[in-house]
Amino acid sequence: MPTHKNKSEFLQRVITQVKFPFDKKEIYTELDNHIEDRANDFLEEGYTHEDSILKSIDIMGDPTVLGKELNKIHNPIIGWIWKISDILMKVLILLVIFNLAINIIPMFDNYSPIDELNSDELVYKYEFDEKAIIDNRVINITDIAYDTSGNLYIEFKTYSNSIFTNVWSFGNIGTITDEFGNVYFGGSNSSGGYFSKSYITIENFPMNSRTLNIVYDQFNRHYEFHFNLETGEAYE
Amino acid sequence: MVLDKNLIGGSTNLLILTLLNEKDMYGYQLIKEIDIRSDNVFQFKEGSLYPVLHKLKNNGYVKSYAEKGENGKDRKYYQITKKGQKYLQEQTQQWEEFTSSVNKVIGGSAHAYA
Repeated sequence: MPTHKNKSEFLQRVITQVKFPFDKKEIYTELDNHIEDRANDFLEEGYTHEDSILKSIDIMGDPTVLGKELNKIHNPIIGWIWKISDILMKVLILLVIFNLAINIIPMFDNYSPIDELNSDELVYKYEFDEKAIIDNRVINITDIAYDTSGNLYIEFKTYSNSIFTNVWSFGNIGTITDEFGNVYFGGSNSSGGYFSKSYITIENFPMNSRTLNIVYDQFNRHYEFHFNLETGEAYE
Repeated sequence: MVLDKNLIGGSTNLLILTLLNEKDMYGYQLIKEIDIRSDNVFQFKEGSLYPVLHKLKNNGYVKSYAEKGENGKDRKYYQITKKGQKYLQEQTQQWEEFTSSVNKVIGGSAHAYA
């Protein structure tokens, strides 16, 4: 059908001018629909099928002029920037979701060695709420306990005070010393996440030490914790 | 009477946004609505509606979505945005100021001789 050929030729001539490939199909369909609608109305007015389509194409104007106008708006540079940033945004959203997932899961890890101790194994147990902040990380010491085998347990939480930084494992909370100046390097199980509960176990900590000091002094960051092990609620 | 298309030029945005402020429409629907309301005064090349519409979309004054029309065809409907409504308000106000000023000038002489 020649009229059909005329229509697709018109549309092709418009589309050729549009340089941004991703918008071509949508523009083509939109203009095609318009011509079809207009032709239907002409048909109803009594024009022949062929005349209806020819008139509809004619009334659209010059295809090259129209194509050039559309190309100015469907700018390939802006179009590509938009397309790329759209893809990047989707990747970013996925990464954020993934990141949130792996950071939130450790929050449900509630294991605590202190809670595992039977009361007859406990020598003392103190609850604290001592906090120090380094950069965006908050170190919050919550529990200190001592068992009959000579182990000292320090339980602490680390969390970020900004949602943009997560607290990766913070194993080293500082140099730990007792009343007599002995230095301990307790192993920590610290896991990552926005929020994590960690503990340090120190073996052979003297039962008679009345103080526990934790001093952090690294990378120009400094904080100190001094715990008095005589006060608080002792079990014995 | 058929108006010169240069005269229509600046006010096309105003016409389109006013219509879209009433309801969502697809391109051909807009053209027909303008024809009906203006008694076919605006005889412009129909294709030229689309660069205007697409520019309005680029500027965030309208957004588009695809929906099946009466005959089952996928139509690209345009919808005015909040930003578009604000812009329409400004443009309408400017238009009113402009027409009233023109009226004052062209009607002013008539008053003088009245």
